[in-house]
Amino acid sequence: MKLKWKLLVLFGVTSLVITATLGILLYHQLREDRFQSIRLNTLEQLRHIAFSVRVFLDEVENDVRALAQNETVCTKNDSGFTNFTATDERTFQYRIGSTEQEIIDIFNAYRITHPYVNSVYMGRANGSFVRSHSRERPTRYDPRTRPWYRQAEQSPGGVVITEPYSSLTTKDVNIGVVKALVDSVDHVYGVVGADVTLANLTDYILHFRIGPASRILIVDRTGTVLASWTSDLLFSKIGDYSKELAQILQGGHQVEESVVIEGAHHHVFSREIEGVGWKLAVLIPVDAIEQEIRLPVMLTTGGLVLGLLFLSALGLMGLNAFIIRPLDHLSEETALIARTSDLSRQVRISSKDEIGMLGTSFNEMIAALNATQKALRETERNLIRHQEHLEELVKERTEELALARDKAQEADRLKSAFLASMSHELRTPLNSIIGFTGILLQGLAGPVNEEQVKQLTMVRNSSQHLLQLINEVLDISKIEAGELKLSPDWFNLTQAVESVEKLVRPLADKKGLPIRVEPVPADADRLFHDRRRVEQVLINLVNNAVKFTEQGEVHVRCERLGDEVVVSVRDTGIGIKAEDMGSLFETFRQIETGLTRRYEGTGLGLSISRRLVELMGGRIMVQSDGPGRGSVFTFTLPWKREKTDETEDSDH
Amino acid sequence: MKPKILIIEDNEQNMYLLTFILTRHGQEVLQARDGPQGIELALKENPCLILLDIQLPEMDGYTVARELRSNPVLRDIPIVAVTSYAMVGDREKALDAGCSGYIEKPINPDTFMDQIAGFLPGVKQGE
Repeated sequence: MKLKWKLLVLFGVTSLVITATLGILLYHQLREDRFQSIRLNTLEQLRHIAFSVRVFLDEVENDVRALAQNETVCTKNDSGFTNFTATDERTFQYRIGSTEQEIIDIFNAYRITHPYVNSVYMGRANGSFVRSHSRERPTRYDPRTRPWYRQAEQSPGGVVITEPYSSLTTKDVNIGVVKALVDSVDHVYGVVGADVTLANLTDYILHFRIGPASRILIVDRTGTVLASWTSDLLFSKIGDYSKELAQILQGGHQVEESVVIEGAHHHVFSREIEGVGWKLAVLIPVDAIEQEIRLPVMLTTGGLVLGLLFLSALGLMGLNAFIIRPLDHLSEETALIARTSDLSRQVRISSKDEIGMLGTSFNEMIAALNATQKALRETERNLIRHQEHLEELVKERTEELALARDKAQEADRLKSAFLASMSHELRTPLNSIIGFTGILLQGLAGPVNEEQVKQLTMVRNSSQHLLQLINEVLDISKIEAGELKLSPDWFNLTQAVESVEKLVRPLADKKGLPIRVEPVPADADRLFHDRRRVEQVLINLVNNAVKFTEQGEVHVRCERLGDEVVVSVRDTGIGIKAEDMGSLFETFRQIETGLTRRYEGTGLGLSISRRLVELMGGRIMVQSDGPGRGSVFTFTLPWKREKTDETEDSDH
Repeated sequence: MKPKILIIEDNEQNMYLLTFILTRHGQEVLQARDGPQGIELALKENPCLILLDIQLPEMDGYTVARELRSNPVLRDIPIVAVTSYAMVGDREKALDAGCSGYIEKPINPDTFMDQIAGFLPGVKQGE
């Protein structure tokens, strides 16, 4: 989402929250204020109305009291007054005397001066009845039985207000205001009264504007509606309209309550009108109050929303102009640099604010990056150069090495050729020496004497030693040149051991030394190796054993251990010092015995033996308990099973 | 007529030594100093055994052996190489060239007759 839209959403949400909060707060505050204001106003008005009604009633009472004190009216001479107690409607004729007429005039005058008075009348203890205007029909009528007369009679000292009643002519509510006529001995001899219409009272109280949609009414102490905003309720019991309201109106001097009337919440304020026990009540629908404040709240919140929207728009425009657009621009330019990897580019700086600083920093970073990259490239180039150089160097060295190797190989080959040639050239004269010595010793060329035999034998032995030397040197050189090839074939170890024993026996016999050969076990007998080389090793070991042993015996033993055949040659000879063991199998080593050349030999035998055994895949080793305690030479050869279809005639 | 043994050998001393031993043991000897001469002599005399030196001037012993073997007349005459060559494969090379046996120089006068006895007609080994 773009920054612009994020801000828009942020502004929107903020505006909404502010508006909602303020709207609710305002609404509640306004409602409370309005209610308080209405309440105070209502209570004030109620007090005012109650006071006015009270004043009015006081006035009426005073007027009636004054009327009752009128000398003419309170005359005791009432025998001539009109009396309806025994009248016949058809025959009745008004015979009004002067006194009575005078009273009637007073009554009428009173009516005129008091417009709210419908009629003025007087009943007397003798049953007579005088009225400001004639009765419509002269029916039989006894004022002494009427409630107004009785009520007044019971309260002779004061003015009494009677129950309301309906006027015959209008639907107006009327009340009677009556006063007993009392003589000097407190005897009631009549009652004067005036009927007061409450129509004016209704008009009067209705002209008060108390709160919105207010309804005002007056009930008397029995709950009868005396004045009301609607004439339908007049004379009805307020309990029929609303029981809750009736209950409230039975309460104290001044009451405020909330009540549900006709399904709507109303605030009810009531106040008692003193003296008469009437209750003045105002009903204000809650709804009306809320209705009243709705508009201001809506106007306020609406204004707020508009204001916030305007501010948001202004803010967005500002942000867009000062931040978002420059940022977009910067982002586009940096993206271009990232896309083209062109570090020589620079971002254009259009302002000196934070965004401008960002651009400047970016440019600095690009410059640093550019420098780093250049350095990196330089390093890379150097590296490549070094690498190439290294490769050349390696190539050079490799060539040199190859040359050296070739030279070494060539030298090796020359050495081998030289040795081969030398051995051949040495053998040819030896051939003659050995041959002719043999011939002479055999006596083929004629008899030789004992001394000559002895000397010829020395010549033969020396030449044979020389031949052995030549052969062994040749062997070593062949092995070292890797030119000694084995020709393995199946053969019997028993036969090989036997032929070796036969070969060495003469020497042993000369020293009186027994060579004990243990029978070769059947599982070690058949071998697949170069028999000549195996014999060569064995000759060497047995020959050495005989050579270095003066007493005791030489013991040859063969056995199989796992995949190897182990051949050991044990002697009881001079033994070997521990420090000599390691070098025993090295070329041209013959252990110094302390006796110069006591033991003949080339010193190559063990070295050749070791190489041969290793060539055949085996090992050779020596054990000795020390000088004078004999030694054991052991070599191993890998053993493999002969295929059953092989025949046993490898003897050659 | 007693069969003859042909010696092809260029070295005078060796020729003398072999001839001496063989004649002393009652054999008749034919001498050839080089290969072609030896082949010519073999064709002429039909010897019973040929002792062949390998290191010969002009034509070496291997070639001589192959020549002898390629001739149907001489094919069955046993040839024993007598040589001081002792390098790898010398024995095999000699046998491959057609030799029947191989004796390394220097020869041992004590055992020499035993070594060739097997190739002589009518003579048993160890005699």
